[in-house]
Amino acid sequence: MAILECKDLKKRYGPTEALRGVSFNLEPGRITGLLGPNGSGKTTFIKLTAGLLVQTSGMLKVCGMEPGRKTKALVSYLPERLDLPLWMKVEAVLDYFRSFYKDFDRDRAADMLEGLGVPLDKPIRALSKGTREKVRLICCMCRKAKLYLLDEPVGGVDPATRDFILRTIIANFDPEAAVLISTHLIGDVEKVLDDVIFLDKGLVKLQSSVDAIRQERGCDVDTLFREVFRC
Amino acid sequence: MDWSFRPDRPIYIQIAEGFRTSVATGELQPGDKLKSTKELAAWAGVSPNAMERALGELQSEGLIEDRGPEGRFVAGQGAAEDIRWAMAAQEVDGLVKRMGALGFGKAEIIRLVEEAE
Repeated sequence: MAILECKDLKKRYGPTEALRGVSFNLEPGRITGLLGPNGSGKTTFIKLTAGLLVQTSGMLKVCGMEPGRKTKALVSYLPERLDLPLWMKVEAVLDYFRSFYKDFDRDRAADMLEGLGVPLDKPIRALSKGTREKVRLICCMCRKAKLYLLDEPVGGVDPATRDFILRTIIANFDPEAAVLISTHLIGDVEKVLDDVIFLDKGLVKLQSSVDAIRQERGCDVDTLFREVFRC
Repeated sequence: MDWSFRPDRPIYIQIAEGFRTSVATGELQPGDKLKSTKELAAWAGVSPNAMERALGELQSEGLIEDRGPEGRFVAGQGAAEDIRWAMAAQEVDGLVKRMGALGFGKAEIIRLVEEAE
């Protein structure tokens, strides 16, 4: 069964149409890139799937259910902007995640953070931007979810942090779960992607496996993206 | 191993090439145990699906053996020798073609090779 199904999904904010009829499925065991320029609808799509927004029309299902309480237990969402309270100590963040999510592996998260030398007794405020992002990503990936929604996970971090983030996503790979990564920094992320979806002004412009793009067009996804979205 | 990938071919094909080179050069020795697909994927920074597909190809070529619960291993000396010779043939082929384009025949190539350091 598909982890995510959507059909003719539309979202309007007042006069602005953010999604204008999006249809695709995500299958388990695949890492998919949701790619598009700023304003193409990536974050709107992810927020609908995370159950934070409600569509204007169309169908959207996660593991066969409409987004809501039950799907939130199955979906691990990494927001674009850090959502951890700055005053909270790292160990309290781990407790907070454990109390919210039954599938959160606190020991594993603590081990990973200690391996990185992150002090568990310091507040988030005391950490650098890159370390805050790492803490948040580890919290996201240490859940045993069916769907991981990562909104711009490598935006604005240094290359070493980016590599850590990508390796953590790979190391957490579960053949029964799907991963959706939204980004406009394609070159950085392409190697970990199996499939890509190009979003353009609220519509799906292309859906393909990365292998098929390289095989049939003889170029990487980054090059194709620049061609498709040339200004 | 160098894990930078060219843009014009699928990544799994390039991963498989990387392993073949490592076996041919002896960086990977016959009988070496390979790490899990996920560990190898994290090391190369690629999708576990691409790594698995590459390992599957190498297995069907006989360069890697799957010993079930024990894991995957680099195949015996014979397979390593075969790949070494196959890669040598490829290199020579390329050299002859490139030298041909410069107007050099086989006899001249052999003479130049003998004079080379």
